[in-house]
Amino acid sequence: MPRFPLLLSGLFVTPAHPVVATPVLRAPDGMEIHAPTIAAPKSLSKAALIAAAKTAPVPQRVQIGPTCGLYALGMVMDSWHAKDPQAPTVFVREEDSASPKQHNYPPTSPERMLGYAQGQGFTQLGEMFSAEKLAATAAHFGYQASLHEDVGLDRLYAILDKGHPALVAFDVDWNGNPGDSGGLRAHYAVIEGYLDLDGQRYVVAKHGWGVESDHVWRAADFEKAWRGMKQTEFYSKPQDGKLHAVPDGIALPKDGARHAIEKSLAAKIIEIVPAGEALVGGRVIGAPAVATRPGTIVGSPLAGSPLAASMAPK
Amino acid sequence: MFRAAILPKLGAPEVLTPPLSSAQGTILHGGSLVFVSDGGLYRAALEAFEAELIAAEPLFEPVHAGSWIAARRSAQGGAPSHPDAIVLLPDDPARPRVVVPGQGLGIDPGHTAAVIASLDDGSIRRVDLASGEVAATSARLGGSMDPMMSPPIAVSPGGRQILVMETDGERGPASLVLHDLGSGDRKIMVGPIPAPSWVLGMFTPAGDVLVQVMRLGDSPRYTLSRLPKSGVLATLVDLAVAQPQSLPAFVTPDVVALPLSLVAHPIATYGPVDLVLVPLSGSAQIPVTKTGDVRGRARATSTALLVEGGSVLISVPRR
Repeated sequence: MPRFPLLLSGLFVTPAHPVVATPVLRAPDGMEIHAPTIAAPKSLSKAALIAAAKTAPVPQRVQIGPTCGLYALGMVMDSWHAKDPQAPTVFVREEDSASPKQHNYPPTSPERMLGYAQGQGFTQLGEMFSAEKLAATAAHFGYQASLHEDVGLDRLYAILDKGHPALVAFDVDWNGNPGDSGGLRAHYAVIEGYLDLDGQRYVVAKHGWGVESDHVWRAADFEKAWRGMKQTEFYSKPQDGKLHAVPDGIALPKDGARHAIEKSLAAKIIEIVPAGEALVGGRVIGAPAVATRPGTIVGSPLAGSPLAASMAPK
Repeated sequence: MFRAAILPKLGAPEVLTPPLSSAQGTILHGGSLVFVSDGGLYRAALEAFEAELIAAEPLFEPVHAGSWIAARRSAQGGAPSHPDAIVLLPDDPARPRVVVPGQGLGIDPGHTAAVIASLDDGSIRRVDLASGEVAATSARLGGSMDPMMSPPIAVSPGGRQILVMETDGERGPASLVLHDLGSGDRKIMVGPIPAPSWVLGMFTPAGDVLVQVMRLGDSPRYTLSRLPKSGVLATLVDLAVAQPQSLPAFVTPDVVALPLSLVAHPIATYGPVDLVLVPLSGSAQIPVTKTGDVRGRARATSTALLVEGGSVLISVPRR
């Protein structure tokens, strides 16, 4: 059995490196342009560095229940809606109207994302273990959606360079940062931008817990948690006191007592843009053509609905 | 006033790697590595290149419990409301295994008792590790615990009291609660701390309580404090960095060890994690490793300081 020595450290704490930004000029494909770099002011605050890095900022929505993917999609919708009020924005659940934490704008449709996704068999409680079906949900609500599969960080940067938010699944720790549970703590986030600091690349992200205004993660940490999605216990242990079967609208192969999620979630980016905006790439995902199940509310995006009119923008 | 801590003499840390590449939850038990891999729970001698399957069932997060291995069992389909369970596997093959419904698990420092809490009905059961007998207690969880991230339960020496984090709803304000398993009395020791936050407690050999409070957010603040039986709270560690969640291990009566992040990555709220010694005297923390990627929980044995629970085992021999 291999044994590897670890270096014994000294007794002193290494101070944090000074925060000095090193902007990098990039071509649309994400490749660096070797032009003279522009030194950012050393006095730039952390908040200013983060703000400058966000090429695709999204407003916060705080999730309720295991609904991280749908709330992350809602944040992306809100970001496009902020630029163009014609771009759809939709509540995840009916109860979202009651709290400003769960929405930013009045909905442009009376249909709710959760009800739609349940009706399509994509989810039981709001969990979205298929990135493709989350993209299909975006398409149903009027967006162009594509799925970038088995891609690297360069693709992520290329999408962000176009100003498009990147919807991703990753393994999360208790504090809302990248984890290493092999997908057992699968979670969605929206990557809003990236920056280089002291020779290290970071990504800026937001997700449905609302722990931080913006999370800043080492790109290497994020990539490990993004690629490391292997299995879920969601359908093999009780949720809300009940054991739920895999929804019939998604395919998750059994992996021992768990279900494999690598093919459906790992190293994928969902790109979502409004009509008229060109996608960077990926496999275009359309809305399902099949009608939903009985009892499911289906509606077209309706700007100016009575509910929308009753609510002021946040 | 605390007396000056006598630091333990430790050798160079080494990494022990299980022979199966997909290993998780690695612990040291009975001189062997025990870990989870495809198909169940495995055991391998320290120098072996092969592993023995000791439980072909979905057991996760094994914990050393004296002459038992305690592990979480994932439900396997079937009846709705079928709960997760904690499975206690005895070293002695002649003894029966013990299966207790629940998710939360704590073992007392002397390995005399296991305490198991159920997120389904709030029940708290105590297992006498000498006899294997399971007893219901009068204590009940008063709040909720996150089923995806069940926090560890600290058990007092002898197994009569526990400290557990309870939250007010999903990711709600967190409190550290002391439960007396005999009387059923419940006392909030710390909190509620506004969300997002977490709080963990630990009994000291002297009868005090160590309290970890993690206030998350844009400006995170972590404190590790000592709450004496009588007197005021003394802060031992105060860091503006998000921390991994684990209970500390007593290396000596005056020094604990746990994975900590002493500095944050530039611009981030989290940082590299190393195994760190914390003297209860309040003097400076002492990193034991410097790889920055330590994952798991500390455990101290008579011969080594361990970090268990990850894909590998880190062992720091005592000198």
